[in-house]
Amino acid sequence: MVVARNLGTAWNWLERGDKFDLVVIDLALDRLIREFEPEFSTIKKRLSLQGLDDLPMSGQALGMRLWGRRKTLKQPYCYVTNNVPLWLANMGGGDPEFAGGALADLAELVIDKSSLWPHNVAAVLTKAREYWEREQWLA
Amino acid sequence: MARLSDWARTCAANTACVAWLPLLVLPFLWAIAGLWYHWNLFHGSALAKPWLLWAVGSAGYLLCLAGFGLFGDRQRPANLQTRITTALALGAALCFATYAWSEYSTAKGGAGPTGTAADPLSPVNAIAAVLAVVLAAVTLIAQKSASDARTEAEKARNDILDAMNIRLLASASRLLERAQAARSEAEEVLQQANETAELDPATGAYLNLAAACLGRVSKFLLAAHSQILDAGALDSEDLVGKASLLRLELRALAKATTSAGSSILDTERRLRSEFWRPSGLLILAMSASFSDLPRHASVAESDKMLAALRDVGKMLNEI
Repeated sequence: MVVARNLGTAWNWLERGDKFDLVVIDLALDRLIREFEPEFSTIKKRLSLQGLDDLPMSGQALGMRLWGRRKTLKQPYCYVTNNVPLWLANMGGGDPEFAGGALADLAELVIDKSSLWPHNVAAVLTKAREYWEREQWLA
Repeated sequence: MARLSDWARTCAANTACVAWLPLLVLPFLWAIAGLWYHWNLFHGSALAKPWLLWAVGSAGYLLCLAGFGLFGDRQRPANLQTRITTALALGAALCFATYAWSEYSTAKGGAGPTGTAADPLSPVNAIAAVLAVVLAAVTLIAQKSASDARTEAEKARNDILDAMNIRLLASASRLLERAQAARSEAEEVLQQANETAELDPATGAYLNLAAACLGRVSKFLLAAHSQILDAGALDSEDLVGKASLLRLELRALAKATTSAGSSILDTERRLRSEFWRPSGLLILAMSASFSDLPRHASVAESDKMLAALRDVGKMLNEI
C-alpha cells in the first residue's frame, strides 16, 4: 500500500506505468493540482451550483481521467470519503463515470469513510474491485 | 503658579521647546533697551548709537542659538539654561567688540559709526539686518526641529513594531501548540473509533468524523501559523481552501452527532471544551489583530483570509 499526498504524485506513478490492485481516492482535497485543471473546472462548475465553489480540489478529477483511459491504463479505482455528496454523477460527457450510475446505487464504489474499519476494510475494498470485474469496464 | 512651573519643566525637557524658548528672551531684552532709551538712561553714557550695539548683540545671540540648533549634540542637546547664557555671552561680547571698535574709530578721528544719517549702520538698516538674521535663525532652527521630530517618530515606530513582533510570535506559538494538541487528539479519537466501530457503528462514525475534524483544525491552525511567520509564503487560497474543507467536515460531524445519540455526549462535551472552543477563540483573536500582521498580499487576498479566519472561528465556537 502506498499513499500519495496529492493527485500530482499519484498521477506521476500511474503515468509511468505503476499498476495497483485498486486506487483509492478521497474526494475533498486541499491542494489544487494544475495538471487536473481541465477535469476540475467542469467539476467545480457543477459543485458551485450546490454552493461548494470554494472546494480547492476534488479527487473526482483523477477518477474521471482514470475512467476516460480505463481501456489503456486498466486501473480500477474507488472513492473513500467523509463527504459522499461531493461525488457528482454523470461526469464525463458521452462516457459518464461508472456508466452513468446514480450515487444511491454506487455505495460500493463511492464509500463513506465512516463505514470503513479495521475489521471490514479488506472486504469492502475487495468488493469494490470485484464490481469492476463484474461490470467488465476494463475490457 | 504650579501649572506654570510644570509647563516650564516639561518645556525644559522637551527638545523642541528648548530650541524655541530662547528666542523669546530677545524681545524681552529689546523691550528693556527701548525703555532705557525712552527714559534717556543712555543720556549720560558715551554710547552715541546704543541701538547699533543692541542690533549687533541680537545678531550674535541669534547666531549662537542657530549654532546650537545645527551643530548641537542630538543625543544630549544643550539645555535651556546653557543655550541662553552662552547666547547672551556671545551677544554681550559682540556688543563690547562693536563699542570698542567704534571708540577706536572715533579716536582715530574720522567719521566712525556715529557719522551721517546715510551711513550703512543707521537704525533702519541695523533693524533690517537683525530681522534678516532672525529669519535665517528661525528657518535653521525649524528645519532642525523637523528632522529631529522625524527621527524620534521613526524610533517610536520601531519600538512599537518590536513590541508587536513579540506579541505575534507569542500568538504564533499558541497556534502551533493548539495544532499539535489537535493532531494527537485526532489520533487518540481514531484509535477509540477503531475499537468501538464493530459494536457501535454510529459511535464509530461520530468518532471518525470528530478525528477528521480535529485533523482539519490542526491543518488550519498550521496554515494560520505559517501565515504569521512568513506572510509571503502562502496565498489566501490555501487558508480559504482549508476553511471550506473544515466546513464540509463539520457539517458531516453534525449529522453524525445526531445519529450517534447519547453515548457520545461525554466525548462531545470534552472535545468542545478542550478543542473546539479554545481553537475557535484563538482564531477569532488572531482575526481581530489581523491588520497588525505584516502583509505582502493584496487587499482582496487579505480580505479573503480575514473572512476565512472569522468563518472558522465562528464555526468552531458553534459546535
